[in-house]
Amino acid sequence: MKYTILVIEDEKPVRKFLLTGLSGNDFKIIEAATGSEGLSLASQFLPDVMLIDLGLPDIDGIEIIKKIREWSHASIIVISARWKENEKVAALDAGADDYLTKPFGMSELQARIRVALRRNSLIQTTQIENTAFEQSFLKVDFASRTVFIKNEKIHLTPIEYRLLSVMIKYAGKVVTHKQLLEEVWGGEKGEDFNQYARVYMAHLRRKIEPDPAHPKILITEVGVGYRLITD
Amino acid sequence: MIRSFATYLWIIAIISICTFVCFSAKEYLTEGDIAMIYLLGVVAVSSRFSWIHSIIAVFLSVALTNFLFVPPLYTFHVENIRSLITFTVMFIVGTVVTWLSMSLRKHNEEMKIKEAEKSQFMQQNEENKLKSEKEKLRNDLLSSIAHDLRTPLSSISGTASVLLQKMNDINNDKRNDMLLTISDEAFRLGRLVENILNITKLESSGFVVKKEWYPLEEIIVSATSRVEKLYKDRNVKISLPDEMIMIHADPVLIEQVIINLLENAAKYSFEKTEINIEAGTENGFIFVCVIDNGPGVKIEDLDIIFEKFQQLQRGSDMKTGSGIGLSVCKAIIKVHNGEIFAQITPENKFKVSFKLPDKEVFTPEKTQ
Repeated sequence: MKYTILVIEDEKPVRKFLLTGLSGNDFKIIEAATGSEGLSLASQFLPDVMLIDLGLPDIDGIEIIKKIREWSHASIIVISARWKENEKVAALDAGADDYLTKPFGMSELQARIRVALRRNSLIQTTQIENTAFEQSFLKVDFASRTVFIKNEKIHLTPIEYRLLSVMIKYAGKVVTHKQLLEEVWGGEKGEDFNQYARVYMAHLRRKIEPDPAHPKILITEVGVGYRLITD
Repeated sequence: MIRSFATYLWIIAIISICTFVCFSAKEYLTEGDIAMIYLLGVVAVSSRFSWIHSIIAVFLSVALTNFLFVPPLYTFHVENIRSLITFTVMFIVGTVVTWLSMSLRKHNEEMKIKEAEKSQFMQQNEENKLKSEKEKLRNDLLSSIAHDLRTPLSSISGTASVLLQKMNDINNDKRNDMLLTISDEAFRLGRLVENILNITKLESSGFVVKKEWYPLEEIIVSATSRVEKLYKDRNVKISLPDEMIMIHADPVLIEQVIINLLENAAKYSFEKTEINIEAGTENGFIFVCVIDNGPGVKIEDLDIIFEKFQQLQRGSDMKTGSGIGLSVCKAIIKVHNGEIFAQITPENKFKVSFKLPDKEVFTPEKTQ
């Protein structure tokens, strides 16, 4: 089965490079040069993944994401420039699943799309009864709430365990500070609270990464949030 | 209309007060004393209102003194010459006081206008100076940008044109190599643009740093992994204290500083030598140092490498650096009230350090 990818991007050279890079075996690509065209194509083709450039001429990218999220759960990957960190966070909080920083390479994009599709299929099979999670040296047994690093049991505080479970729930996807706070502590907490989430995450990383200077599992996306790496 | 009505009420009030004072103490007061008290009222009127109002107050005062306090009482008759002198003096003094107070007020107003004009002039002067400085900065920036962009651009377009022309004559390895050059140089171009955007952002007047509490190690680790991705043959060794250091700063900007320093180290130090990054706290400061195995710059150049658009030669093959990286670092550290400086260590290593004030203390509250 071919997956459908909708590209909403006003720059023609970028569209061209995405089309050549992605089309082929698994993907069918649909292109839109404006936001309004993108919105109508999205409702017409029901794509599996949407790549949305935030700097479109007609509609603000964030607005497009909000509109699409009203009726669709398809994966949305945002494309944006690095110096607009706030914009990325806003896009993720509006419902985007992931982001890519311009300029990016094709292999990076393909990897993100694979993660997005895998997450899609997980959602469709409605929360498969996960009893364990395994990723390189990390193993989590949800039934007994135990965490193993290189097959050795480690101790996590209740908050650290909750943080890790949330990161596993969104494995592969970037989780913003706001989302993390809502999932772990619940409710609106305000920006001041972000700092505590960061401290706990830093402690968690020290516990689960054998070499915290070169993390393999819990990656910090400075100014945006965190990502739990999956193969 | 209403205002002038209010003015007359004021005058009547002031003169009534004088009358009340004089009346209640009339046994103890001479004609001269009474005249003085009324003159006080005239001074009060003339300090606030126009000369016409003051003159009205003078007439009122003279009339009331005559009517209420000078015998025969409750008539406007004047019996003796002394009273006449009192009234005349009262009238003259009242008029003179009015005139003096008017000219004083006029003088003050003129001074105010002059001062306003002067400060406006100075402000304009200042603005012009700032404008010309900004213009110079912009010109410097433009010429520097043009220089910095040209290098990667020419390798990209050059390599691409060779590929287009001789596609079939080039073997696979060579072709891969050339494509890699294009891709690497394009990414280099991207980072340059990032720095350029950062510096223009920092130089713009409306820019505000968005400070947040962040674990320093997160920023250092993230910056390091970005640089290691770009320079795969280089190993960055991170040395951090066990305690977790929290900094109050714009994390994205500080990450940019560390990326720039590490990238400089990777670009200009001897190939495959180790790069070290160290961080800690000291005397109320948080410091971060990036140390490479050299070669460094000349000792006399240590201070000027952070100046805008300085392109110094560093290293055995005299690579010229982009003049932008370090000036971006300096601008970022400056908006954080910190310092950045370079040293040659006794072991002849090249070390760039920045420190940020650690005055604001992070206080974790209960979060359970």
